Amino acid sequence: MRLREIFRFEFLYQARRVRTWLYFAVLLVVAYMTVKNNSIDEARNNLQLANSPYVIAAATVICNMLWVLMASAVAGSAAARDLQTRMHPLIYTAPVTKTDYLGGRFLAAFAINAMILLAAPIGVVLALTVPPVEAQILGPSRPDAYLTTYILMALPTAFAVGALQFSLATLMRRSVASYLASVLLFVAVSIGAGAIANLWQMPSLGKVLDPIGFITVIGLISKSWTPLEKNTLLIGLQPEMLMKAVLWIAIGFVLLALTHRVFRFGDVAVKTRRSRRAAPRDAQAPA
Amino acid sequence: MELNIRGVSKTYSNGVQALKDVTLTIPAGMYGLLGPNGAGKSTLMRILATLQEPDRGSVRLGDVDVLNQKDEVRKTLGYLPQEFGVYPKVTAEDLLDHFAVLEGIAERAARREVVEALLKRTNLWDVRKQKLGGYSGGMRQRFGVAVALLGNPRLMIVDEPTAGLDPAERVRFLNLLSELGESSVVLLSTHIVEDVSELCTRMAIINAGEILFEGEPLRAVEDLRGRIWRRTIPTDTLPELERQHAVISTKLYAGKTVAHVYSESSPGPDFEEVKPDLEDVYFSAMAGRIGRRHEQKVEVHA
Repeated sequence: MRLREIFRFEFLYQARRVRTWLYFAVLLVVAYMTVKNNSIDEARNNLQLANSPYVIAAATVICNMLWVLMASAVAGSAAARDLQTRMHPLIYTAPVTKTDYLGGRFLAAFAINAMILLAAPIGVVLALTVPPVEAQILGPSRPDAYLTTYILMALPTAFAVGALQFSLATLMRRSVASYLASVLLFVAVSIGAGAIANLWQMPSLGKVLDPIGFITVIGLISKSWTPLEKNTLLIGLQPEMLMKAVLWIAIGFVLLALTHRVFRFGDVAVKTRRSRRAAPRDAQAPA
Repeated sequence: MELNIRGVSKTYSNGVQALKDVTLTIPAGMYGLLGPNGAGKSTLMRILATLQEPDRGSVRLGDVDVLNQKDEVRKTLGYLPQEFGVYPKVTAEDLLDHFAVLEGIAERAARREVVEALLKRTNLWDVRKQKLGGYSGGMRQRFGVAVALLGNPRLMIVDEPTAGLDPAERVRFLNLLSELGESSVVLLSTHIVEDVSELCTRMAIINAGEILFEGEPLRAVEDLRGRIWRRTIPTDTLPELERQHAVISTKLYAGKTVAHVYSESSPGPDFEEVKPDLEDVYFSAMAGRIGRRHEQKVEVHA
């Protein structure tokens, strides 16, 4: 019951913030523009369909990438707002377990992020319908392409990246730590997965290790798939993508479990040996 | 229900010893913890409120081990910290309702009743729809009181609660506390002697992490009768007076210094006897004339 209440309160708190809808709007515009400016032109000039599963996946991973860099505050503030507003003494002394508290907060951030990432499929649909594009470049409508892309690509990304952002912000006790998590992930992915896939010629491993899907879709599939494949195959159902989803969801769970273990309802930061040494000698002890 | 604190010590990583072997027995009712700023009051309060770990010692609330059964304690704990914030973008009513659910008041109608009653008792009913970001310091303090009172806590810990309140708010708040003190353990830390003299049936005086005195305010004042003497002197002769007598406190009055001196018999013809008050108890304890430090000294001499 308490987990549900913490989830409800956090979800509403963030859903009422302008910031949340700004992220949504940015992704909506980006998805819309991507399809309008690139996919439709490409469809007119060659055999690729404007509403192919590939187009949907490409718009999704572009939005995923942008979301990683832009929206880290969603998980960050869910994790650290109590400390940053200094409300933590009130909530840490309430009869709430760690599982309720961390679980409710993380799930609320995940739900908000899932909502923000819905902007990608909605943007694609809008690009194809407002104003409508000519019927010649459209294939049959594929709800399964939207669904598999969202559920098997966008949501696992939101879960794994969100878990990393949330864990770092919880353990470092500040919201900006989630941004650090995003940047680290971004750099590691673009260099790491890109290098594995392209330099060392192991595209399958690169695809599995790329949590955002950007390298996979924009860097690899865009070049290696034929128009027919792009028009028909569901990227989210490719073995590497399923493995990727499983791997990163598992990594997300491990991070959350570790955070749950280390976290304490305490007033003072978890003291490591380093922070102890770093404490200035003349610092005033709290009265 | 009784709160038992045994041998609690805490040293911060920068070497400051905040608490030295603190032992106190706190029965139901209002209990005052009096001491200057930096005496270790807040550290002790945070330990009792499950937010901090002592290095040594034990704390029990009835049958509950406070240091190791934190979840149990939190079910019956109300804590008003010295310093706290609130989410700025939420109304008082919504946030208090949230805390009420966390407190375990699941049923909607019952919760609405509790929230309404507390908002009225803390005089926030008219501003319940306002965002907390727009609250003044005193209003925020009263909101904290409402949160702390949720669920009728059996252990209530209030840390320097009257510091930010205006006189009317202070009276109102102290009344709220004394109502609760009829059935629960209410521990009030303060550096204001009046807070204790007006409310508390028992008290302790703490300084530099050590308990200097524990007892009943009325008894303590009574015991001091005939031992506090006053003399008005020019300010520049104070050092001389301090050399000859046990000056416990000084006050300025019309440009002259009024010194209070502790002495078991008349210190001289220039002194007049004063009817002691709790402030004299406080300063006598701080000066080591009464209380635990004094008893230790007496033991050593005997």
